[in-house]
Order: sequence, then structure tokens, then C-alpha cells
Amino acid sequence: MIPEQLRSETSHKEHEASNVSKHLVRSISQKLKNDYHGSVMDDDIDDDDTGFISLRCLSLYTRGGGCKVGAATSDEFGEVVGKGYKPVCGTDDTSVDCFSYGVDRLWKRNNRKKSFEIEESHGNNTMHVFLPDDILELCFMRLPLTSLMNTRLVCKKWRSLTTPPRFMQMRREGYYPSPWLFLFGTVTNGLSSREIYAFDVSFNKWHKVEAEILKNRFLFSVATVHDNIFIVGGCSSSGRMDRKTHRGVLVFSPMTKSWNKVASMKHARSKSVLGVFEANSDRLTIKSQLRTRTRIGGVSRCLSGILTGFQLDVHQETTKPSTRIV
Amino acid sequence: MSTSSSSSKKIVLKSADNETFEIDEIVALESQAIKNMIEDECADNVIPLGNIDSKTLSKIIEYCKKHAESPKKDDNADIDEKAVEDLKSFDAEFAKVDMPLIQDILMAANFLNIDNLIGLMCRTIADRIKGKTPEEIRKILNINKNDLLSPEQEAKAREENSWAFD
Repeated sequence: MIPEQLRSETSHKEHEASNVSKHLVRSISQKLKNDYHGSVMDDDIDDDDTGFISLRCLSLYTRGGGCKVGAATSDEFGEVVGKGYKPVCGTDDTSVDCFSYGVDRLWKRNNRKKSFEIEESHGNNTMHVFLPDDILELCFMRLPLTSLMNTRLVCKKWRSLTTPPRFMQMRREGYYPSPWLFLFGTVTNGLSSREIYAFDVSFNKWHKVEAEILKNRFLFSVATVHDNIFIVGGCSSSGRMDRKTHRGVLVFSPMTKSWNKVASMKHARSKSVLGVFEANSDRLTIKSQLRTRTRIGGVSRCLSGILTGFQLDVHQETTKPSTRIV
Repeated sequence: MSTSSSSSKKIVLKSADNETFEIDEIVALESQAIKNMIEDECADNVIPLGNIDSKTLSKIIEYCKKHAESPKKDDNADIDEKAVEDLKSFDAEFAKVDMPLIQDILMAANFLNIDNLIGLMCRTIADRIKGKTPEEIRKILNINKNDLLSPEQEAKAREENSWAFD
């Protein structure tokens, strides 16, 4: 379809384009942050980018048979797809992919005549879709979660673009949250339910998640860190006489629906009040936002849990640091 | 602001189909790429844009004009609320075009490095994908049929996502 000579030239140009696009992505993420604050023109998508974000770091705690509610932007897949991951802005030879011909087109300024021929031939049988990968990513990172999941089913290319942790991180840093609300600790027939309910804020819809591991557990605390939900301590009982308080900390990754244990606390605890904010030298803005949210979440009494990289300090209501996890 | 730029230097843009557009420099400066060219003094009086057709280019100029006229966010603290609203509704109207044109605009905005416009177009595409089934999305964006997931891959993907679709 494309003359060989032209293609090699194109691939060289694509390489250049990829360098350019990295800068672009950086500036765009910055831009998105600004957008998020200032919000000049996001009228159409208000439902998924305003108002509810305060929930991200929220950790509410109620006593006894009440519900525990944690919320997360919760979109991270963690390690979902390691295989088949290719650098998205790379120079790999993908000229038969959905969108690559646009890149050709973009860089054809010196070959205008040929470029018109190519456009024409494409215009007839394929379509107008020719967005390069980095641009597609910019579109995808703005999607709410369920829509993003749907895009993963659209075609191989899109799947390979939207599943790598790198993309998910970009999405998070682009700060285009579509938060979910998670409801824990519902009680059925007097027993703690093993179900979690997840509320998709963007689509105003509830989902049920089975969580066998939480069966009979209650008085645990919930907080979210990035896209994971931490379930800390709590009690469980199998009979009336038999009540156990836990030291264990569970991590639920909503997207993979997977549970993991992380290092246990030193002491068994229930009813602990958690707060989380990110402390990271290059993300001061976000940090302060999260602080605000924590306050909104009604956990002003708590001392902050601090996450730096993989280090998580959990403090309780008492002033002395009780435990260090991981 | 169009009146305030008394010097009102003009820039001429030439589209792929050889149509020329004369615009105020301040409008052209909305494009970071053109801005760089002008600053580096490598812009002749006519800037050829061999990959942007006139239809797309006129849309882009329309956008840049409007945004160049509007007060910038960081100009001063008390931004005119009305101007912001006005710009918002302009953007909303601006985005009401068909998908091929959106993509043309997006590609051109990317080339010209107009951040706001890239953002607007990406958002528009995202909005049109949002809430659609994979099949519908394929139609909207006319996806290459040769690139579909195999049944096994699709089953696996659906399994990962299953809880979110119950």
C-alpha cells in the first residue's frame, strides 16, 4: 500500500514524532491538571470530573453494624498485562494498524503529491481514523472506568494501548479521575456480608463485588491509596464466644478483583481511624488537594498515614506511631 | 483585544490545498509551534501547512481567534465569569462536528501544538466513546476489522472486567 521508501522515511519521522509527543504528553498532563482546577471548558463531562473527587481519599468510619465507606479513583490494574506490552510511542512497525496512516499523512509535507494518493486510497476503503498512539492515549485517559474497559475490547491496538501500567499511571497523573465509591461492611442476617458494593459515580450505577475474604469480618478500617483499597485490622467471630481481632492488612485491587495481604500490623486493631495522603516531592499540589479531601471526609481527628513510594506509616488516634507497614 | 493590538502584525497561513489565510499575529500565537517559529525568526511572511487542508485550517483559525480574544486565565486574578462561560459555550459548539473533522482538527492541533484545542478534541472523542459498547465504538471510529481481538482474548478481557458490567 505504501511505497517502501516512503515507509522507511515515515518510520524515521515517527521516531521524531515520538520524541515530540513525550514533551506533549508532559505538557498535556500539566494542562489537564490546570483544566481540572480552572475548568474552562469541561462542560460536557462535568459528571465525571468534578464534584466527587473529594471522595478519593475519603475514609469514613462508623461503629458497629454501620457501613464503612471507602472511595477510590480506583482504576489501576496493577500488573494486568505485562505481556504484549509495547512502547506506545515507539517506532515499531505498525503500519497496518488502525491508525498509523495518519502519522504518515502528518509528515508528508515534503511529499505532498504522494501523500494525496495515499489519502485517497485510504479514504476509500478504510476510514478517517488515523490518530497516532499518543493522541489516542490522551483521549482514553479521559474515559471513565467502564468506558475504558470497553475500549479494551474494541481492538488489539486499543487493548495494548490502554492496559499497561504506564498508561494507567499516566491517566492517574493526568488527573482525570472518575471515582468509584466502595461500600463495605454491610450486614445481612446479623452477619457481616461478604459483599462489597461499588458505586460508579460517572454512570450513577451500583455494582456488587464478591469478597469471600471479608466474610464475618467487621470493625475493620478502610482507606484508599492510589487505586487500591486497604482493609486494616478489624474483628471476626465464628460464634458468640469466639471473637478475634486482626493484625492483618488486606489490599483489594478493584480492577483485577484481587486480594493481597501486605505486612501485618504489630498489634491487632479494630476501629482504627485511617487517613492517607501522598507525600512526594514533585507532587505537592496533589498532596494538598488530598489533605483537603481528608478534611472533607470527616477524619480530621486522624493523624495522617503517609505514603512515600512503598512505605506506609499508619498512625492511630493515639499520638504515638503504632505500626509501620511494609 | 483585537483592537488593542494596534500594530496588528499579520501572519499568512497556507493550507495543503493552497488556500491562504491572513490572520493577526496574536491569533497565530495560540499555536505554540508557530510561536516558536516566529520567535526563532524562521517564519517567512507565509507559513505553509502542507498537511492541513483548508476546511480544517479555517476551523482552527476560528478557534484560535476566539481564544486569543478571550482573557487568559493567568492574566489577572479576577477573571470575567461571563467570558469564561462564553468560551465554554463556544468550545461546546465548536466541538459539534463529525468525527472525521474532529480527528483532522486534532491532528492539526497536535501538529501546531495548540494545547487547549488538543484537550478539547480529546475530550470530545472521549465523550463520544463514553457509555458505548465496543461494537458501537468500532462503528464510530471505524476500526480496522483485521485488528479485532480473538475470541479467546476477548473472553479473557471480559472476564477481567466482569464485575463492572453485572
